Amino acid sequence: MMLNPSGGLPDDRKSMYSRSPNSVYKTGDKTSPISVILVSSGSRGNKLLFRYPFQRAAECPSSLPAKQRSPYAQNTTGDILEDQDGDSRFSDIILATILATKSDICGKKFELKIDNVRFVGHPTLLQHPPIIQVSKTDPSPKREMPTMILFNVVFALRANADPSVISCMHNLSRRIAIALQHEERRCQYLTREAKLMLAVQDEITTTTETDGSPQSPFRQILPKCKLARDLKEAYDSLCTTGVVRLHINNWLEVSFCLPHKIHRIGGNHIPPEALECSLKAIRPYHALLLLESEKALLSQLPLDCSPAMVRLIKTCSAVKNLQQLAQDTDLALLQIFQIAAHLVYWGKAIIIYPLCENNVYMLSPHANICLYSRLAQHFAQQFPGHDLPTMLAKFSLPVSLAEFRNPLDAPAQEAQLIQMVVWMLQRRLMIQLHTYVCLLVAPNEDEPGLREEDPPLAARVGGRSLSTPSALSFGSPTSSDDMTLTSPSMDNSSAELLPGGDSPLNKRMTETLLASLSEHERQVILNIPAAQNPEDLRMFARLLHYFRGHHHLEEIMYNENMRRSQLKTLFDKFRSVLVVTNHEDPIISIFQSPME
Amino acid sequence: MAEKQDNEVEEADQIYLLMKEEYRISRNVRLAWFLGKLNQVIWPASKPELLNSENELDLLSILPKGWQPDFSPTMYPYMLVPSTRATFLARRYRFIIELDLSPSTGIVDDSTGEMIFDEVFHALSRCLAGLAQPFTIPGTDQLFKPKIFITILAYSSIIGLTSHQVLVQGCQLERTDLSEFLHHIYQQLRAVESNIAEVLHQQHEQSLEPVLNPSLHMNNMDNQPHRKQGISMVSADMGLLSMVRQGILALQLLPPNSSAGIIIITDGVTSVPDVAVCETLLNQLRSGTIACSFVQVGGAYSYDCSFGYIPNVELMKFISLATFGSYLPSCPEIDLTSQYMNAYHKAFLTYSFLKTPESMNSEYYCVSQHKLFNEHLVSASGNPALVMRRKKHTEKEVHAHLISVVSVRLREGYTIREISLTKGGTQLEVKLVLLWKHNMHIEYLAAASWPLDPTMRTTKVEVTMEGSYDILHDISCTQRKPITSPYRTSVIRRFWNTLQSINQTDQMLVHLQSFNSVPENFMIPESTKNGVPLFYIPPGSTTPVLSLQHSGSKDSPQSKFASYWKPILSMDANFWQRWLHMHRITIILEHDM
Repeated sequence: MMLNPSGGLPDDRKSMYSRSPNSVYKTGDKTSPISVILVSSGSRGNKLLFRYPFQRAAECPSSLPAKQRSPYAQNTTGDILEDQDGDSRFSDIILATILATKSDICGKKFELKIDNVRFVGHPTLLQHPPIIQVSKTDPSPKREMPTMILFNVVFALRANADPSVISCMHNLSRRIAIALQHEERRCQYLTREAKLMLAVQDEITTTTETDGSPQSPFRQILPKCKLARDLKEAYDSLCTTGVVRLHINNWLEVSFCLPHKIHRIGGNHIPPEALECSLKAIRPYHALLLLESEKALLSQLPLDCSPAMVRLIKTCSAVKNLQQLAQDTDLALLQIFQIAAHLVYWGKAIIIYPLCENNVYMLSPHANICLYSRLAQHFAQQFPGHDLPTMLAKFSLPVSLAEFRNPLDAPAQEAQLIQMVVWMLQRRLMIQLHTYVCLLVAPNEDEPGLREEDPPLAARVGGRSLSTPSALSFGSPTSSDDMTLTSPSMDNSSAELLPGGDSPLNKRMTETLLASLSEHERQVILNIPAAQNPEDLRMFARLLHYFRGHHHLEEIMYNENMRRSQLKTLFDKFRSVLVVTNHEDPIISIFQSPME
Repeated sequence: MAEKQDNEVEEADQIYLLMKEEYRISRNVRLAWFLGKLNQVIWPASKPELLNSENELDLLSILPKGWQPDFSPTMYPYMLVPSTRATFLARRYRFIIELDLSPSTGIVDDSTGEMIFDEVFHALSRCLAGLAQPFTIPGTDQLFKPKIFITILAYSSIIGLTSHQVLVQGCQLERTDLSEFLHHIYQQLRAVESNIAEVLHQQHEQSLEPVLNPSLHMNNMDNQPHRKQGISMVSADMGLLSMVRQGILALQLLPPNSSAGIIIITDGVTSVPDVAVCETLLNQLRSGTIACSFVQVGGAYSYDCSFGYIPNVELMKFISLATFGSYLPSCPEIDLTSQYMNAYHKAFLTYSFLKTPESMNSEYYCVSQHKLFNEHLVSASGNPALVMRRKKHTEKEVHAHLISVVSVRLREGYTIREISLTKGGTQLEVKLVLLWKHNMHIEYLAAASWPLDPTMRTTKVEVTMEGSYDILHDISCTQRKPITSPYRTSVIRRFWNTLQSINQTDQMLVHLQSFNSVPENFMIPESTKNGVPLFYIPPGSTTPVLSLQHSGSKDSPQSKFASYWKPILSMDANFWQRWLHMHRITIILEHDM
């Protein structure tokens, strides 16, 4: 699904098609394949069985849909002229020769670059490989020895395609090849389809010879041959949505998504590596925001999909974090994480911080703020009496949801506000700002040189990377019980932890925690009036490792089981050494505003 | 540990025991053997002893600490200490192997480059080859080759397939020619597959018909709503349930007096509808002492896998752990020349009540998967949400002997977590744990003075619940926001039921144990001897009511007799297994016309 602000949600996919095709392809140029080609090699030599888009399209003026789908098949606009050297200059025979490989490189990735075109495929042997013990007595039919020895489903890409695109396309080619290989072994599906394709090709060649009008034989193949239609569908989906769902021989499911197409905001796509980083950093306090309605999503699921996924989709909400979701669905947190990451990868959801009144939102720099955009129309339909530009204007400056709260409002109005915020988040019109805190002690004026030599705080306070769970890094057995602070019912395990005043133990602990600081920093901190209160100082010391600007307020609250007000008070008490900043959470910001 | 200084006997690290063939050796007998020999010197049985053995349990070998597979077998005596791990082997096994061929297996596994459907067969071949392989028990030098009876079932969630779902029934594995056997199964699987393909094919074509005619522009997703029609399927969350139930039934058709197991070869794209169903299922498995194991095909989770097919690894791990089965994340190739125990022997043939801390700790199991995916889930210490916390539920004294207290729990499916001698060797502590849910456990600690005195009928008991903070909060905190999720509510309610039943079970045990304390309990009253029924069941009721003849004074021997026997009579038939030896007699009725 393409999710750019102008494209809106997939439910208006159809209207997206109605736009000029070029605007669709412009964004997809670098990632869309040039063509899909099926070749085989067998007793009758190397054959090109099918290729799509058809060549010599200009000679077939009736083929309007095909023309729209492939800029490379057209030579009418200037935009496309430069791509003329796509794969069209390779004749069928040449392609058959270069893509039907020798059998010894079968079962491996195939990649071949010729000038501006890069062919990616997975040549696959059809002769039954000895993979199982029983293969020598393999009962699968030997009535007719397959004349085909190997085949290759090849995608032609632009030579400068991103390596991650290449690897994705290879994966798709491999999935299709494996399914075909299986069906060939089971019921000679590929042989049958290949015969069909060759028969049509022969027929057309003969008719062309007689009446002289050149015609693409591949067009005639389409209505007769399921495999050809599958390949065409794969190509079309790759060029538009990036999501491929095929049923080889009407039953084996091949599903694939090209993340470069799905994760697209404005003109930028989220690089798969960045996506992976974010998925690896999901925390239990994050929430999953579905980008489509529950019903739409459920209808896309395959017949026999994970029941846990259905349960999650039905229970999911923008106000519930993943941990609550795990409890509400009675599923393991790991399973929730896995399904969440899967849905995000497939472009069905994004990761957000769960909606709550303290969340601060701001208009996204990428948001489409045209007064009469289709999005605005949609919004007006969805929320009668409201209009999008006005709503967006309210978020021109960072604002917390609590500020919209009017005690006189009916609860329904608050519910609608939440729905509107969710709607805007789904379309990535807003970004969320989080509060980060940094320890910054003014340099000692007496020894100006000393300050520079100090290693940065991050290096001294453990220097852990952002993604490392660092909340309980001091190894004290007590810190792991922090979660129990607010639970009186479990006091036997957390008794030792309750702020116990100025016991010698606490004092020692505080000292140990502060030991990572330089002498000067320690002195400045200890001179702050609040530091005279041992309890405040102890809390400050305990949270010290969060003060590197890498952990937002909500994360500290989650890890330390503290209240927002507690933290805010502490920040205020130590404000002379703490710098408070507001910015996006880097883990989830890629879903809201991609890197330039 | 309390090792006596004056003798030179080394501590046993691991022992292997062989169970008698003629009848099933219950888990209690196994524990009783262990406790009976605790802190004593033990010797492995010699070969002639083994051959003529009449014992219920024979000690095959003892491995000291630091034992290596190339050590030659020894007959030295060792000391059985609480930390000794005992592994029990049976002479006879029966297994139901379920092949999960639901439509989710019709996708490509990127990790192996095969259809998952094909992998199921490979997994089966490897499992069978591994099981059929004779092996030497560590510390012995003779080959061990138990009798293994198997039934192989193919499961497809499509209802009304015409092909046979029972591929093999009651085959004795070690007596068959494996390659021929596998060939036979392969052919049958092909038939099943073609059948499935045909059904899906038809159904898919039907759904595509209206779409094909107009322009080929139509997106695949537009026809999805149609797709769900025209095919009757068991929903995916009932799949596991059906497989286990079929398995339980099929086990009853295999020779009794053998160790029973269900091995499910699956892609793991399954679930259970809710916690109540899961609990019922576990109770069924536990009361039948059936180990439910899983062999996963389709590789580890990767978020870019085919859309919608995510294996539920936690569930498979949990069910296998909770029923003394095993979970194999993949099917390793075995070395057919080796005589050591292979992965399949270890997974399916051994029973040990003392699970190692690693296997009990489910997060340990997940590490490899977590690492691939999200490092925050790797260690519970890094994530406060995942740390297992403990909360004591009750503490009490049960007036029953420790062995019987523990044995009742073992029959309920509790696992022994730890056996230890505390208070300077004067107290025996047995820590049991019930795996209730993947992240919720109940620990049951039974303690009595050591050495055990058969006349001492007092056991100190402590019940502790374990779970993550949120779970315990849900369970124990009364002042909370109303919970709307039915799944969550059901978890809380069921868990409380389980906690309450612990108490009821202990009371029942005390009640039963008081049998010989007063003669009225075992003296049959005169009127009953004369044929007057003690109880009757009124029409429309299920609870027995004391006959009027007996309802004399409260202290009369009749009423005492009746009050002792009434709870036993009204015991739920599902729980008989906990208290009584049960034998199932199968009768097939024949028409007499």
